[in-house]
Amino acid sequence: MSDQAVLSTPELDAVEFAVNPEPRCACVLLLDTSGSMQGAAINALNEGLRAFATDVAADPLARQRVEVAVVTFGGAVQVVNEFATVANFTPPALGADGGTPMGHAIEVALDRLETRKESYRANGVPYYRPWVFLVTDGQPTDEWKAAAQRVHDAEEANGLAFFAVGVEGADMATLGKIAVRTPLRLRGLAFTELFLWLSRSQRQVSSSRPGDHLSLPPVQGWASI
Amino acid sequence: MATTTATQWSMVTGCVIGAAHEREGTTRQDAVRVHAHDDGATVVIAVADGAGSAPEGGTGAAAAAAAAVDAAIDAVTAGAPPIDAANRALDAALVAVERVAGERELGAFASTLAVAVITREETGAAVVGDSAVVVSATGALAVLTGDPSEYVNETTFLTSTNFDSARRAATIAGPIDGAAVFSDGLALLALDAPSGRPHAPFFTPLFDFAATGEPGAERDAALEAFLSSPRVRERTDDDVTLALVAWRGTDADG
Repeated sequence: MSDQAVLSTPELDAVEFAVNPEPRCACVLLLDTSGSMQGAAINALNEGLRAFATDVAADPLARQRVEVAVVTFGGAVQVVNEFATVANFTPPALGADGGTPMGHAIEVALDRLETRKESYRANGVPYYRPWVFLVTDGQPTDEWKAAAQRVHDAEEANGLAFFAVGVEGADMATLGKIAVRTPLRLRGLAFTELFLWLSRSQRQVSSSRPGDHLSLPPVQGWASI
Repeated sequence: MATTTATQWSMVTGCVIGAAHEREGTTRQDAVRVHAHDDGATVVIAVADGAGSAPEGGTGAAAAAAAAVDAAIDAVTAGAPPIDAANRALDAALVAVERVAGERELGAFASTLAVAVITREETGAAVVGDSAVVVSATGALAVLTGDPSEYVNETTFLTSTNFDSARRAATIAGPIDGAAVFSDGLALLALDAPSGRPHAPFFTPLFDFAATGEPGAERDAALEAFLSSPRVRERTDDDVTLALVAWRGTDADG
């Protein structure tokens, strides 16, 4: 049986970093694909992912620097895309089914990030502070408090920036306990606007230099206060 | 002590504006000063890299480099060990930047600083931020960089609140053959990854280049041509500054 998963080994990573030694800006998309996302929501999410890939790829610097991984939680936790630069990123077509193992998904995302940072260091590739971008329309159906603690510890240590976005129906109170930054609520199904904002933000981060004061683009286009 | 001896150091400097600054229409943010002492054997180098985003980063860098060299020369003349002179240079640079800033926000003048104070007896270096000092002594290379930050878009500046805890200083006993002080734009080429050690194939020809030929505008232009070459430009879009000195004298008395 052939496995369609993208090959990623330390050896192949070393080749990739030798070919493209640009500093890396890692971003994990942590996406809720539970049953409640079925229908219009998952379609809008998929469209948003395509808009994200197109918009980042249009930036010659960002397409070489921004690395995206996609982790989904719908029934089970799945690493749908391992880290790849946007130049090599094919947006997935996600389906929706099952429960919401958000806690486990966060742990998987943080583990993957740690491994990726180690790989950057081993290959001498400079990097930016990574982002984790969580999008959900529900509440965790698994144990999430340990994961929340890890997010808080990592933010405290300046190890990452963790953003949470709640789609209609999301348990904003729990999201507020997981993320240190105030979670934002998606306006309707404005996934495309959300992911274009993410693209603009990542483009800005990936071209920043020491001393830059990052002011992220306004979120009014997709978030309701 | 009143006699002036021609310096026995061959000195070359190059300073090239980065593609990012050219795109944004901003001016160069790096500053470099090399000063040979009247004794002929002592030389002081300072390289300051103004923060890209700081509106007055270039002004801060220029003030820092100038004050650092003056303070270091004063200190060694007064008999201070080179490492103390280098440390005093950092302190004096901060005072100078504060003076230039006056009532304005200090962070607008943010700059890194690397200083090398070289005598025949000892070399002292002090660094804050991601600029670096590399010295060559009897064929071996040694490097001093500031407190490294994990992320490529973060570093510590003279004007940062954690300046004192992030500054680094080191000393090397005995005479050295050459030294290079450079801004972080060159780090990807000059330092091996991930060890952070000086990249010998990069420095050996550069020190040979500095040691031969007559120092002057032509040599500086040749170094700037190298720093502007595609090999260098494709690795960085930042300003690139490199100061090189090579010993051409003789240590035998008489």
